[in-house]
Amino acid sequence: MNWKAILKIQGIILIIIAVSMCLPLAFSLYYASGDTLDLLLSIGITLVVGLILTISFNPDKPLRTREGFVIVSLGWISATIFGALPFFFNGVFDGNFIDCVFETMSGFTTTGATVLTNIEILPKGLLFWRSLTHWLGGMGIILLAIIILPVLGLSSTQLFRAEVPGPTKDKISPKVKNTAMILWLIYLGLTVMETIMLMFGGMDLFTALCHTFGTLATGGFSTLNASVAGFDSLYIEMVILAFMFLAGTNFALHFFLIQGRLGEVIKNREWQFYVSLTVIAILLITVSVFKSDLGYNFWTSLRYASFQVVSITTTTGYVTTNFELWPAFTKIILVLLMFAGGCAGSTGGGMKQIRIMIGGKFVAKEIRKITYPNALFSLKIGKEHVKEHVMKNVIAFIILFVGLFAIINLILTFRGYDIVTSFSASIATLSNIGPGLARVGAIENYAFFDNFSKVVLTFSMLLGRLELYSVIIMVYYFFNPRKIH
Amino acid sequence: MNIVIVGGGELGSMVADQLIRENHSVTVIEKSEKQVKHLNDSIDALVINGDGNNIRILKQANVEKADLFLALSNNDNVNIVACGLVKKLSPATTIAKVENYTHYFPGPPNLPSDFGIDNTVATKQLSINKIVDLISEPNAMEHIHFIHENVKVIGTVINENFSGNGMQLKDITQGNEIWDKIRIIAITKDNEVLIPRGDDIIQTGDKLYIIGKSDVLKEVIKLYFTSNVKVKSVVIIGGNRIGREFAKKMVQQGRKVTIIEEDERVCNRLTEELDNVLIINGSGLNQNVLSDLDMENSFVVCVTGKDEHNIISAVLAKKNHAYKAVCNISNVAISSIINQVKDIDSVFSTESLAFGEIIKYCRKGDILSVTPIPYIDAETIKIKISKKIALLNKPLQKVKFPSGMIIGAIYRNEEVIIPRGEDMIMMGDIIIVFVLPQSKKLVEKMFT
Repeated sequence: MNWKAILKIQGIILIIIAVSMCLPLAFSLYYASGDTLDLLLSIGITLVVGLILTISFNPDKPLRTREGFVIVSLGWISATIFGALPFFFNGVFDGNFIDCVFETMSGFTTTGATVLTNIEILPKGLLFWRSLTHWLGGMGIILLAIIILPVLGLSSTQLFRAEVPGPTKDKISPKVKNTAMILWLIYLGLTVMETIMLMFGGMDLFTALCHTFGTLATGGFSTLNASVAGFDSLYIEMVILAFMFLAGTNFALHFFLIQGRLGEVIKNREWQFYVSLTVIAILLITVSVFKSDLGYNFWTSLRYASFQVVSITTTTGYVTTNFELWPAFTKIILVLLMFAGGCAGSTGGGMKQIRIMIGGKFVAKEIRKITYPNALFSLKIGKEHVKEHVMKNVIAFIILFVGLFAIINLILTFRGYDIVTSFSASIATLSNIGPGLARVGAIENYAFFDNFSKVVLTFSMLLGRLELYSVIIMVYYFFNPRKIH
Repeated sequence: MNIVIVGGGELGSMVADQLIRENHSVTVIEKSEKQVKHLNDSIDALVINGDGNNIRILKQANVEKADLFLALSNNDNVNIVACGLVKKLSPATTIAKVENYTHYFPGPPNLPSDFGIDNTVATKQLSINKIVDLISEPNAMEHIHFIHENVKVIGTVINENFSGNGMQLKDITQGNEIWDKIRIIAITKDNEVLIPRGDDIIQTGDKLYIIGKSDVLKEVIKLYFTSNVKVKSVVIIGGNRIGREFAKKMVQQGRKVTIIEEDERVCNRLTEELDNVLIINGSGLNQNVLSDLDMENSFVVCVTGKDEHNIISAVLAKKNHAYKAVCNISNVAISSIINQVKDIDSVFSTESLAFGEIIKYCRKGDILSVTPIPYIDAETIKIKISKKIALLNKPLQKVKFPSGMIIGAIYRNEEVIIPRGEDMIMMGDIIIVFVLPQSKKLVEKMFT
């Protein structure tokens, strides 16, 4: 194994993390929130370790594909461990390092599940760092590293494939570095836009930034205990809703839009599917909530339903109302949406819309095949033929996803948690959503889980963010030394 | 530059790799799905699966915005048509690899420009020129020309008559006027390629790569490396395009030519087309076929189109007392280990030759040309010094160079300098560097 390259890139990732921590440091100093020393200490440690790794290792061999997967998975783990340091030094979780790691992993993987029972008592610096982890993880820490790697003479083709979500990895520019740069610039542009629009709604810069990070990364960390419901402003809800929806769209489509290729965006089958699925879910839930005995009028029902549907589909996890109280029918729709997730190439998690489409078409194709045994059918998305290997990969992914979901479920119920809690906590972490149902519901948190379950859930979030394969290949790589070297 | 390449095979990926390292944006169009996967893993380019002569695929590759279009697939028709299509869409310079050049463009009024091709790389012609070069001076088994400077690299084997056998390199060269005018850039010893040092001992069987002016080199060969053997006949194994054209050339030169070809139909065609050539229907792998021929002092050229076939035929021919054997090898992996086979005197690879030509056309930067030497898996790179680099105006002996390289020649004010320790590299020089694969990146960084 190419340890030199693996460790060097870990070093670069840590330097990025250390530099990013300077932003919360600025807020900490401005608000004099008392966490300055904790942040300084964390920056120091991360930077020193990062520099040592970067300087002392110089790879002499090019990367192989599977090493790319290992680098990416390990990169997220090391980012999380060092990113958890500020929480640990501050002692917010009574010094329980597992809680710190859970919170940080939840941030980086844009899950938004929290183990904090009272968010508002957190010092401003830490609160900002917590939201910033979302933003870094949303577009991808590794994707950020890819921009820097060529300067150091390292190739990064292998890393791109391991981190960008979706069954096919379309580069929008011939060079990986330029692709990463374009994606980050679009992301940055959207961030600036949303921050400004939120500030128009009366938020201060700090709150606006934190919520922008949570929205665009489809994360879900808020600065308030009541999440977005705490603002009780239709304008803010609309802005956040719109940007959640944009963040759940394939970023390549944003690029097309900037280039003026509107036709390609509208004709994109995944996007059409994403829009229709969202609209249908909103309508169903609106009607269901309206007809239930909650006493909402139609517009209020529509307001809550649309925000909740978009929030769950894009795997953000912001809440404007306690949907725990809604009818069972609406709750099951939300849970099903959790499986689907955002579009490929977006910041959203889940199985991705395109995979659901391909999976569904595959089933239809098999049924037609049984009806006409000698006929040949091609699986198409729009006019594009889906290649055999892509299709197989998608089917394997769906099976793996459901399988892992089942395993996490088994572990949680074994630890004694009830069915609904275990079920929704498993999918809410695996799809990087955040809130689930019952004890992890809209206004609850993950603090009550025991340490073992927290570790499992942390791992589940990582699996979901890196789309299973990267992490599983890493595990396989480490425990099968005789099969692959 | 934005560069679109059609064909991601052996040649296409070699070219793409070089161009990407020079920081160009490369898009590759490749037909085979399997190869697409491989390319996606190995090079930092946009790889599109499809036909290079399909206008939809070309548009998808964004040829409209390309500066350079390279059609390098294995199919001449595809390459020519692709260039024609692209010329209509984009201002890009088009270069087509056309293997069978004379077949399409026998001469005016039929010109490549009719098809929108700006430059052609006629691979078959390149190969034939290479073999003609080799046979014209059979004592030097490698010739690389740096045309305008009249500078050449030759490879030659030390035979038992060499006066310096068993001596250290510095004892042979020191104080000798003619050795001062040339430079040994590499020695192969026991299957290993070495950058020479003064205390290396020269023995029979070693192969030297020497750079110098053509006329000086000619003299060197005459003085030191001539054997008494005279090439009596030429045996060509494989009667396909290269073999056939080469046979014609050799007949013109008045040599005795034999072609061995497996396929009877091809043989029949050859008899119709060629005069004064002995055509034998049989396999180069067949000992009986070879022993029937009088191979003594013959020059054997193996061009069957199959690498393994060529290698074994060459070895067999040498066992039948052939004087020299030359092989055509297209697989890069094989050509990098071919020096393990002692019996093969020289190899040439159509892909490497084409690569060198194509890279010359893609020049905008400081690297003027890259010429692979397939037999030893090394390259000579011609670089123009136009930036302020660290080693400028320093005596070369004071500069710390990577181990796998040597500066062969400096070209300054229309004059060729074979550098010694006290010479310096100055702004505006063109230098010729010999480099082993492991040091290539470092060297490119060092000089550009």
